Amino acid sequence: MDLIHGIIHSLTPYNLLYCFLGCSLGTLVGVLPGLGPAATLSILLPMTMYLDPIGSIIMLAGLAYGAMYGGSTTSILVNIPGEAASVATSWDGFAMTRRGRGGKALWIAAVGSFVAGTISTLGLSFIGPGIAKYALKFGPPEYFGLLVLSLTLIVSLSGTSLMKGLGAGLIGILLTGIGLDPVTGITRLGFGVIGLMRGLDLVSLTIGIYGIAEILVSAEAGLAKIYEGKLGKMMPQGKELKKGLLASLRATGLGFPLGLLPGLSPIVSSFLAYDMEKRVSKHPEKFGTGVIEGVAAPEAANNATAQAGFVPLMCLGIPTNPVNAIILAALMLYGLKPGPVFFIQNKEFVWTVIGSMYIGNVMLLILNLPLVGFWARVSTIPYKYLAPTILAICMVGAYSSRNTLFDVWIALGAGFLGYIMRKYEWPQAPFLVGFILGDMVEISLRQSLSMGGPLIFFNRPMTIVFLLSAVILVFLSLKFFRRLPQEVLKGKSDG
Amino acid sequence: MKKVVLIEGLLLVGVSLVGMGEGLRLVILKDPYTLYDPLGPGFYLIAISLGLMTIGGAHLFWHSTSSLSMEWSPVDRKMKIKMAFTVLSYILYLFLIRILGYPLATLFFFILGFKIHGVKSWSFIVLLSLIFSAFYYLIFVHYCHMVFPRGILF
Repeated sequence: MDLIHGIIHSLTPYNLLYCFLGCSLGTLVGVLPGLGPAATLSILLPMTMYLDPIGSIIMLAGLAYGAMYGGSTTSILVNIPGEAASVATSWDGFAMTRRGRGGKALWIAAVGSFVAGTISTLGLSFIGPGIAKYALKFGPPEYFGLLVLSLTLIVSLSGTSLMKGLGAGLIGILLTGIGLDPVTGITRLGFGVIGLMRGLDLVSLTIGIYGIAEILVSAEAGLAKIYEGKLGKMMPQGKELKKGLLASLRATGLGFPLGLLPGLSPIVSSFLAYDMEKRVSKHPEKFGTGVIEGVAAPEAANNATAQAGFVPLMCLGIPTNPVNAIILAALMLYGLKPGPVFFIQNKEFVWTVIGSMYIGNVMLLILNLPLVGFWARVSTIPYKYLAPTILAICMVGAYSSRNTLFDVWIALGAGFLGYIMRKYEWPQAPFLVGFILGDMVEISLRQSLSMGGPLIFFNRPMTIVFLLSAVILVFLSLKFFRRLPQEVLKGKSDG
Repeated sequence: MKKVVLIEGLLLVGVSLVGMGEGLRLVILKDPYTLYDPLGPGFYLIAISLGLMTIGGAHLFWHSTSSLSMEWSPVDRKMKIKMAFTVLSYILYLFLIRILGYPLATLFFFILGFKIHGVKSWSFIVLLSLIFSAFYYLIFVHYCHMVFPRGILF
């Protein structure tokens, strides 16, 4: 009943307008590489203080989950993930674009996101308050186990050489050591450079390794257009449609519970969903060459996780990622305190925001599906016009997250590194996976050891399950990769 | 041993040595008043660096004996020059932002970028560059309120 009231209340013209503004801005932010939702939310935060609380939270929430929809577009079309959570989408999405199936990739990304977003909102409405309490049982050792499980992805993304994959992954992890130590606050690997003391920024590194490197490789290859042939049909048919939708559902099932856990961002769930899909597939060797499940799974998972993040935020007052932390800040600025009694004390507010999420998901589907053709046509624009415009956006993206030109230099350096890696067949994906997960691995490992030494991992059943699964998965991956031909492995490592 | 494999392996070992050196520095010069932490700020770096060093060594050993194929298509000299100019134009852009500020530097970057990537007509290049830089300025500076360097000349 509360939900129905909430939906009715969210259908007022002003709330609809705020929802539309948030969703449109979110899509735009997702499409623009580097200009992430966290940065945009923090830019918008002071402005929303002039709006009414319900309207502004509806808009900010719309922006947060809308960015997950839009993030796939540039990943699929130009191999530049608009969001770090869309890195996994680019592995098969861009391969599909190159094979003339970019339209289908965009279609399944939008529909997969809608499926995940809607199911997760249902979860938030009905089971959220009940199951959020389990998130509190997830301590650092369980996180560490889960993150080690995520890191096994490096093995399957290593391409032609496992050594190169592991090396790239470890360098990625080592680079997370740059900056302030997360526990003691001591500067590490700073070498007296002030810029390095803040650590390397994920956004600039992602933009460099994928975006700038792609432009350099394309410039050298004399690419005339991103995609030379026809774009093909937009909507996948028959078996392909079924595969894509089933992958979306499986990934939603994975992404939603992960979103309830503090600290696990949509980035992690998108990698895990991609890996899970590859393992359940009858043709895992085709992943990385442009399969629809490889696009549907990470997109659905990152949306499910982003949306599920509202459960611990509203029920416990725990922000699970930076975006939710900013929304929490906005709530607190309005004098609202999310927590166990939030649903009782601010009934109308909570259910109106939840109601707006259903409407926002429909809006995003309408915004994205008819515009799929528009975004797909971007890929037919001659490269000579696209290259400078993408490079200029890369500059803005790298600069925007911390407002410093140092990050743009880092992006350029990472771009050059990405170019060299591509030339000498070093896989870029494990490097980025290592960098994304490295920070979280270190913190959870050190917290676990401080809690009870190395034995703590053997006293926690969930951790044992995660660590054993990781060992089994590495073993299975190695066994499987030995049987794959070199050409397939090369395709995989291209990302 | 192949030259490329040797360089790659040595680079991995080199990076691991840097990490290990930093880890050792943090362990040896540890402030006695810092919080107790079993992996400390240094031991974690040492552990990762040791792993990387092992991988570097294994890479040297493994790939020097195996027949790892690394074939890439020969690159046209013109295209190589185009790629080099793309990098140079980007570096110039970053320097120009500090001197001329964001709008003007972006305008110059677009003019240079379109020329490097093969747009022929100068009038079209200037027109496109004006439109794009004005559009970017409107979106990022005017609407998103992003603060870019204003340049030392203005």
